[in-house]
Amino acid sequence: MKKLLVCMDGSAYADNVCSYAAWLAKTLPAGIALLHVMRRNSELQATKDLSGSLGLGARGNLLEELTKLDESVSKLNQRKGQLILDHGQAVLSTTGVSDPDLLHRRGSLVETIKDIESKYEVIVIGKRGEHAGPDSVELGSNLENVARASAKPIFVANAEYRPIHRFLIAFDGKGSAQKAVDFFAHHPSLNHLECHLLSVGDEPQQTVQGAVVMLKNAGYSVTTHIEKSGPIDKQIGEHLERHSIDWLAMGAYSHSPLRNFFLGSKTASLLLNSKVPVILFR
Amino acid sequence: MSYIPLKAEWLANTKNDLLAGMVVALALIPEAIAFSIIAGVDPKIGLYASFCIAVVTAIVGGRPGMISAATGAMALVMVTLVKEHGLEYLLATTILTGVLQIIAGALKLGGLIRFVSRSVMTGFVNALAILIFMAQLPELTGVHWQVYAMVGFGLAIIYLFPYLSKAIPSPLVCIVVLTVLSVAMGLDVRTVGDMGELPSTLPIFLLPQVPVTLETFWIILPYALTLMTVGLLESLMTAIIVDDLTDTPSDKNKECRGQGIANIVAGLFGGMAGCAMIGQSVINIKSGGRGRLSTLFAGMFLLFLIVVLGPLVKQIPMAALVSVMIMVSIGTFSWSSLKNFRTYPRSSNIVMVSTVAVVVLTHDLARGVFVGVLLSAIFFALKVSRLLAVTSDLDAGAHKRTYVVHGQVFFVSSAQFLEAFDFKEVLEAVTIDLHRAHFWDLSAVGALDKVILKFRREGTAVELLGLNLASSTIIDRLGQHQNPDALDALIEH
Repeated sequence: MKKLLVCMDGSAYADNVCSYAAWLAKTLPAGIALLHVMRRNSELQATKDLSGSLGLGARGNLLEELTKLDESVSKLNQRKGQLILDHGQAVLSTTGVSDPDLLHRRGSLVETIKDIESKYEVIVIGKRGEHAGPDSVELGSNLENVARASAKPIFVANAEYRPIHRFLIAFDGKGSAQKAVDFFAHHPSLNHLECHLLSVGDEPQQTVQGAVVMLKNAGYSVTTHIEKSGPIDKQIGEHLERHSIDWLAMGAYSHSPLRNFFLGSKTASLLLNSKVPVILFR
Repeated sequence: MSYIPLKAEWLANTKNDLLAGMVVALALIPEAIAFSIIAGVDPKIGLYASFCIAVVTAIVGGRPGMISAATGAMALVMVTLVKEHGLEYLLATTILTGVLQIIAGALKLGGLIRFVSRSVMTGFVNALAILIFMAQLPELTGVHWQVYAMVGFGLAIIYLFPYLSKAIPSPLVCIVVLTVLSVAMGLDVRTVGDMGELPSTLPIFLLPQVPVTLETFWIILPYALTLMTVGLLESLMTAIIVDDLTDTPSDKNKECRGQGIANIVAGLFGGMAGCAMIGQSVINIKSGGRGRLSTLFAGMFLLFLIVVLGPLVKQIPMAALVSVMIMVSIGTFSWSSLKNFRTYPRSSNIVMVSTVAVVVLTHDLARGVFVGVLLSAIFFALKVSRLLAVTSDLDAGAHKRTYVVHGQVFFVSSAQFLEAFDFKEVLEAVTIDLHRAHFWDLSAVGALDKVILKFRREGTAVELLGLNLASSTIIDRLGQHQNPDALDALIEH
């Protein structure tokens, strides 16, 4: 059976991540694997010794000391991770999803996802991690790293949960947007949702038509909008409001990190300002 | 390849990295000066090298948080080159060393470090510590009693000051106090200023002034090869130490290339070849440094200190540097290896002591490690050769004996294998059961051939049982007893 990989941490988004994952799992249908990655802590642990002197057995003593520090913190983190997974399981069971796979791993989230993602259909993650509050003006650093490293669709949960009735595909004719269309076409179980397709680039009419036909063949009722002027992110934002869209699908991070560093990323700004969950395709 | 975001390697630990970088920079100054003096060049050569190497390895190295700069291990290799050919040849050698290290990285030779056993590594660090200490002896022989007093006082400050405060690097306190003392009391002791020129400007890009001829190449190549080996050995060993301390992995081949690029840059900016430093890297980790920023900042802060404080650095008495270097030597030495001497296997101790002895005698860490690796391999082969047992059973009625071979047959154990068979016994047939045996090489195959042919010459039929897959592939490819002419071919050998 297909499965969703649901990334959990102690953030405010964790409950929504579970709720959306439960909805998606029941609709597709798919199974759920809850993943919590325990951060490596040794990078953040430091002894407060700036004496710069090396005594007898300096290396061995230091190793012993650092191991002790790590050990105590790791034990706590282990306990905390267990609680997070238990909580996730509890949230899932209130929505009727029982017996998710529980994955408790050590390392970095990105590396873990890269190792195991091939077994999963969609990755579900919160907009921000536990170190950022909901009012934070930045996206979680994990989100962009995961989105850039992973080849799977990524469902980004937002701060407020609401049931999904309408979704919008931001279509610019590029490969990643086409993947979004393919995803919905391959999952006709979602076709009770109202589908909006917003053409935002300068792609030819034929490509847009091709996408609409694909969706219609899968049983969707499609409303097409065409916007050729103005900044893309703003246009999408307006359409989300106007048609009270509950879910946005789009291609993501088509530019290099360097370019985004200087010019900003459309993906990031949309994710940041969006009040609805987003599913990203690369 | 593992995916570690660049940002995490640089900015995950900013405050601690900057602090640790400062501590390291302060400790790098006396070391860079002392190692320049060992190599026989002006202190500025080592200081420029330390700046270039620290900054470049911070960016392109494979082990975040490891400190590389001008080192004693490398300086010792250069002594004759500098004496016989001068500074410009050293710079050219430094660049060639870098090129060779990049090639080593591209050929993925970093993986070869696994052949360097723990005992060899212990021998390496002990030898290094002894060499660093020995290099201080010229400053300690035939000098005024005041120098001994200063060194003793310096060491006392280094080891006792941390009990007062761990917020200020005690080697720095030692240097400042001894400098102030010697200036205030007008002591007539040697100072850093007496040892040669200190940097007064930022390093300048300059091609080494050597004739670009094949002759030059042949002069510098042997040195460059040794420097490459020593540099990579110490760098990779340090990387392993830092891996263990921080419980994080590193890219060894990237580190080889990084060291290479750093040495090329150092050579072009008038610095000597360097590599990773065990002592400084431990200090960095101890001070909280983890990311690339710590290494970068150590290099930049070092240059800042030197250019700004140049005139003051001149006043530092050599005795203060000697104290710091003795501390480095003590901190580098693996004292637990002395404690473990009684309990460790004799072969390990022989490997460790041989490594130390060869290094101390030749002043060449590469040779010591070579001898150590060779001895480890021999001891290992000897141990594995003992994993061979041949048992046999006689079926008297049928005039038939069954030999059962257990274990590893290879060049070391093949004679032992041959001796296990009794060719004088008159038998009609012999069965050799090889189910539990491994044949590793030509010597093993040759020994088995010999056994079979000998039995055949005595008129005994030989049957081989259960050559396992690994053995049978070797025998199919190399063996001769299945060919009709086998007997002649064996005699010809």
